[in-house]
Amino acid sequence: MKCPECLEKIHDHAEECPHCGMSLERLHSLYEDISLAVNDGIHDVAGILKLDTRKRLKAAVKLCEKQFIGLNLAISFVALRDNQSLESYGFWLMNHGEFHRGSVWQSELEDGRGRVILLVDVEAKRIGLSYGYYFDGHIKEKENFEVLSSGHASLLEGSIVEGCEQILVSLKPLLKRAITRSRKEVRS
Amino acid sequence: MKHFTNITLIALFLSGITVAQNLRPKDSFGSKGLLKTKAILSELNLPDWLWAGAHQYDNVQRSYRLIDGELLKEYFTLSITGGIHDPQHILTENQRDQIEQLISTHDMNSAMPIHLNVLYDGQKIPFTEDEMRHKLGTLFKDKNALVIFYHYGDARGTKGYVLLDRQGFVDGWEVDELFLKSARDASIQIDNFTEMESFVSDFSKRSFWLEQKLMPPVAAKKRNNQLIEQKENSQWETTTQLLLDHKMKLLLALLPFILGVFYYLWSRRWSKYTLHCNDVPVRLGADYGANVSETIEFSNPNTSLANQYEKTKNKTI
Repeated sequence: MKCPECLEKIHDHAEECPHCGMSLERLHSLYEDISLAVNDGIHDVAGILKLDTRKRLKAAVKLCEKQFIGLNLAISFVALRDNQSLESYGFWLMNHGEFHRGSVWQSELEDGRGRVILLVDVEAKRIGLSYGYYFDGHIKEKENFEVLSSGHASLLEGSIVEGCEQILVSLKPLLKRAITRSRKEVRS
Repeated sequence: MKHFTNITLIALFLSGITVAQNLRPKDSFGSKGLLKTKAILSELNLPDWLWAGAHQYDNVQRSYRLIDGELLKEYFTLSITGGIHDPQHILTENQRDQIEQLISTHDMNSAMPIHLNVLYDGQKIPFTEDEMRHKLGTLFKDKNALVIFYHYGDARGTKGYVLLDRQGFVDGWEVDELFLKSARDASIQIDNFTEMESFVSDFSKRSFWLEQKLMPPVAAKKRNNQLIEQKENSQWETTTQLLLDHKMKLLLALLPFILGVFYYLWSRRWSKYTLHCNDVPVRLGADYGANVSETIEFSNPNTSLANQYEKTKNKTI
């Protein structure tokens, strides 16, 4: 296991990172002003989505989720400040995000440990993925890198929506593989 | 000269054929001709089986021939619960259903079930009276029965027997009257089936009076209950047998439904990947997850993916 802030290895049950001292509580002051409402898998605090592009991305999220039971997928567009990082922001949103489907707050119905969030920092132009506990130890960084790089060309051209769609398409097989590994582990 | 004569004769023959063909009316050829032939034939009063083809003719012949052979056996293998017995298929399916309905109504209310055997008009059972009684006596030993041999098309040719469980055959003016009056009243009808329907209905009504006369009420009720039970059992057995006989058809009929259910379950559940709840350690005070991947940047086209990839080697999220 690694710390989402400094990416150093930490203990399985560590309450805070022994390297950088990071814990969820400490991030509160850093991200408290960011809205936490994730509606139908879209979290656009950067305000880059128009009505039609929002619809497109909602459809892409829905399509990706359709093949999974227990998966809660979201895309977050954010413009982070200098003292904020995409990693710690992903960690914060994963645990404090209020996932809504229509008018229903998902956390009341589903297990948040099945969440996967595609994080896009439109200011620093960085992209990453945040995974819930269910995916612990079942996704390799190399595979994750391949998924993110599938949308790299479109992102470089400035087509963020298309880039995200491409990433979601290649994310599906990765999640399937991760679930298969997890199933094998449970059986063994 | 000889050749010349031959050629002349051939020429005359050919021209004769041509003239003869031309003289024929135009509606004698092709489909028009066929229609005309059919119209002529339809005016002739030919029997129906001739139109139906040779196989139909064979069936008609066989049915008459078998009355004193295998077919005869069929008339003497009656079920104890009563009903209609028509091994020669004289009645249509619909007619048979209607008569069965009448008989079953009778049987539900009576301790003496009707056994109706249908024969063609003029057909005879080739037994003497003693032989007939012996056969029926064996068949309906210790049972109540109203056995009718009905000649379809002539109710007045009907012959019948009344059997009581202990007493055996019942004879007397009441029985004669039961058959004769029912047949007489039914014979007023013109249509063969209406005649039969009227006979059965009338016979059923009249038989109640006979039943009351012959049987004590308690015995009749007990017997009636037994019969109903037997009939229900028999119906269940028939249904089970029918299902067993048509296993393949049943399977084919249910196949779309089974496939539908399978597809529904497959699309809703089996085709999907379910996230498994492992025993995961909760860390850094986070309830749902503490995994964030390496990020990649897309600000500068000159920053290659290969360089960014180096960071990710041999690491697991």
